[in-house]
Amino acid sequence: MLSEKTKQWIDERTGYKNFFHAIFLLNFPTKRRSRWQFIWGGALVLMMLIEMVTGALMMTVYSPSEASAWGSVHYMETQVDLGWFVRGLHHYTAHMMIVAIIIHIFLVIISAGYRKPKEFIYWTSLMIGGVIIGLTITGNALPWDQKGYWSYQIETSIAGTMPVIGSTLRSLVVGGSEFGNLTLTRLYTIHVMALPVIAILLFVFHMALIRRERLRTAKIKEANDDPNVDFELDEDDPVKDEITQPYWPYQTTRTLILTLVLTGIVILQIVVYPSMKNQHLQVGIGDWEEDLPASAIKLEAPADSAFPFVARPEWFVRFLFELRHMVPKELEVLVTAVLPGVILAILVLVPFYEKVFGEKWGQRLAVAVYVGGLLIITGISWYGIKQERSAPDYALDRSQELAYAARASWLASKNGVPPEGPASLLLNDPKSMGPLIFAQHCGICHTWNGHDGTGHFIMEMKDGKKVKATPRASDLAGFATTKWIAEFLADPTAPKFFGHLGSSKGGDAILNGDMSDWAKDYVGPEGVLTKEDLEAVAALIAREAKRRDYEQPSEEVIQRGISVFSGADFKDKSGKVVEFYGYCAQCHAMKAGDPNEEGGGAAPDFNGYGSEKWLTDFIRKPGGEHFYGEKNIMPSFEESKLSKHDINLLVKWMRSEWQRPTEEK
Amino acid sequence: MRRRKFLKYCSGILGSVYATILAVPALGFLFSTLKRGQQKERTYRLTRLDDLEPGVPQRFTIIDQRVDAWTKYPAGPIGSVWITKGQDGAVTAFSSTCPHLGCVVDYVPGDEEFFCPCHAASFQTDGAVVGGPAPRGMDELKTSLKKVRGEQWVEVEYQKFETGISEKKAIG
Ligand code: FES
Repeated sequence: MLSEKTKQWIDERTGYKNFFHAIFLLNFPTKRRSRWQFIWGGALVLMMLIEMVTGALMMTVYSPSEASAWGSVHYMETQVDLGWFVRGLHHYTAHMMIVAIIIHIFLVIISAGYRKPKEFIYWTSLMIGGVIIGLTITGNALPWDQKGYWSYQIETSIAGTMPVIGSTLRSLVVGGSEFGNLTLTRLYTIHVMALPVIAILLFVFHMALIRRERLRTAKIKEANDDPNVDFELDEDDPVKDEITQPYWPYQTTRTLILTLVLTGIVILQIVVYPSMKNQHLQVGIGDWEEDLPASAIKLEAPADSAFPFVARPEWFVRFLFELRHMVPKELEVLVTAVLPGVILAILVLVPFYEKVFGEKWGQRLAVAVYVGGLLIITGISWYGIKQERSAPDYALDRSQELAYAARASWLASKNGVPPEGPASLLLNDPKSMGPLIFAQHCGICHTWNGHDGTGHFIMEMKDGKKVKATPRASDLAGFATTKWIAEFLADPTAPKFFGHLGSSKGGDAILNGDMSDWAKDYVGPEGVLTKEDLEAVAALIAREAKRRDYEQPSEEVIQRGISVFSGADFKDKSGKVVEFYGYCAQCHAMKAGDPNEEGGGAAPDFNGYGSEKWLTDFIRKPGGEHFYGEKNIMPSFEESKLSKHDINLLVKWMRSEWQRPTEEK
Repeated sequence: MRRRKFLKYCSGILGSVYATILAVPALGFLFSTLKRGQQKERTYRLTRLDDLEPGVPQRFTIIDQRVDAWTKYPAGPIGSVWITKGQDGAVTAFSSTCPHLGCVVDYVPGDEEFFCPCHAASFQTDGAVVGGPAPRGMDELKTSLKKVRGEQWVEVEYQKFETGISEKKAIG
């Protein structure tokens, strides 16, 4: 420590003591009775400081561009030591600040802190509140994940509805009419530069006003107490029995206690929800949990409109979003532009209530308006959230969003983010894209475990009611596996397979065609084929697909399958070799099942059945002569309908071929 | 005034708790990002032994994937090496990065000398400094021979070294 003399020497030349006194409010007089009011402001300042430090730290990693924003945040969360903590602190403290400012303004109102001469102190605190909300909105979109992206879409479109300036304002903050790189660079500039500077300026102004007011009160009181000064306060002047105390250390301790309590809550949040809140998801939809447990998902999936995501705004603008959906379209502007203006006016005009209603009732009105407004807003938000959560598909949709988030995080950790951006992690992933492509192109007729691949059911209108649509073609989950083929052979006319084909044009020929007749003649209690026979031939055919989940059957089973397929050496239930007329090779060609290669031609070719090439060729041209030929009723998906990239992903997904955690390279 | 003193004391303690909550993560955060770019040496199979002309250094480009923080780039050139087969068949390899300031060292056939175009450092074919500003000789890399389908291949362990200092120190 410096000696008293040196300090003196420096102080004479710099005046640093006064400077520190001013900054740390060392002998700043505060009202003793209103210490609770003061500590919220102080805690807000300390929280703002946390935001600045953590924000500056994150600036050393974060990169604002479409291709790298998500990747850099993911990197921060997973690779940087304590990155998750720093980001969590920044994120949750921001929300805590909004709570704190709501409480702070409430305390100001109940202690009449807006009353003359403190109007500007009150107004600046309102403005600081506005800036904090702006900071939270812009910061939320920066990771460029689904959540940030979509909520920013909502928030900017709300801004866009403002009369006259709306569209200009929107394109200013979005950087044009569409979201993209410029949106991010703008967001970033607003978030780290523009708003913080405005906040600091407002804060300095706010403090200067408070200081002026406090010093003035202190002086008045001093004069009142000084017998040498000829000055006497009125009997009922509140200043008269105000006890003043210096800020340091009386308020400092309290402020620090509050800050630490609030920060403690924030840290608790980070620790309890180190990742996204996941209490609403329905585990077990798909096998996505194998990629990453829900508790380890740090970020929503990268922003991309190809993937489903239910857009929700931040909680504090939720009520606007909800109201907007409650009113008819013509009145929308009332909610999105007029209402915020009205709320603002109600708050700004608080100091003037007393002019109209008198001090006592003016203040009561202010409190009533503030608390009432908060309750209404909370009610609307709560109602909206409840409504959303009780929607029938909520759990499903949310689980899927999380599944995409988990998948993207896992792929990014495993493979790194490609230079073209994080969205391509999912866009090139069969597991992510397969269900979407299936739902879009195949789900109209086919099903996948009963649904359209994504877990949703195809609905149709029947008698004015929405009901589950009847599929028109087979269920393709597990296509070309032993089980699927065996089930099919046992009963091709089952609803899962050809069952509903009769309803489509030309489908009758298949429903009542050769394959169905074959099953009627040879399968079942009367037929010569046993369950083992069916399973053997199914295993033989399924081998062609070379699926990763194929279990190699024993040689005996294969031989049995060959005998069913080719009819040679066929043994009946008693084990006697008999003549079998229902052999597959009559219509289907498959080298592995038919040593003499005599058959085929009349029905789909089974060479490579279910393999990547077979499936691709089939989807491209199901009416080809190797497939259904003239009997075909499935539309063909040429390049123009289904790109090479998409068909590749679809086929890979159908064959459950995608990168897995358990798989070594 | 005991109360006043007590409160000052409390403020001090609480203030340090507050500062610690910020400082500890801050230091961890900052220092861990400094670890970036540390690469382990990896072995690259570059050429068949028989394709090398005895006594003539030949340059080979190292192709590999590069990870920069979160971005993983597809395979591309990350550096190059000079490989020489001696008359006796022994193979030596030098990193082509100049130990002076990191330019790519060149070799002009016939000169019997490596030459760096940036500040005119020159090296003998065994890597030793001949002249110029280079603080040390060219960085030799470990080589090995591997038999693949009956043919001898040269494998090099590629590594990057700090430039501008006299000692050969791997980066990272
Ligand atoms: S970099 Fe090679 S001589 Fe300077």
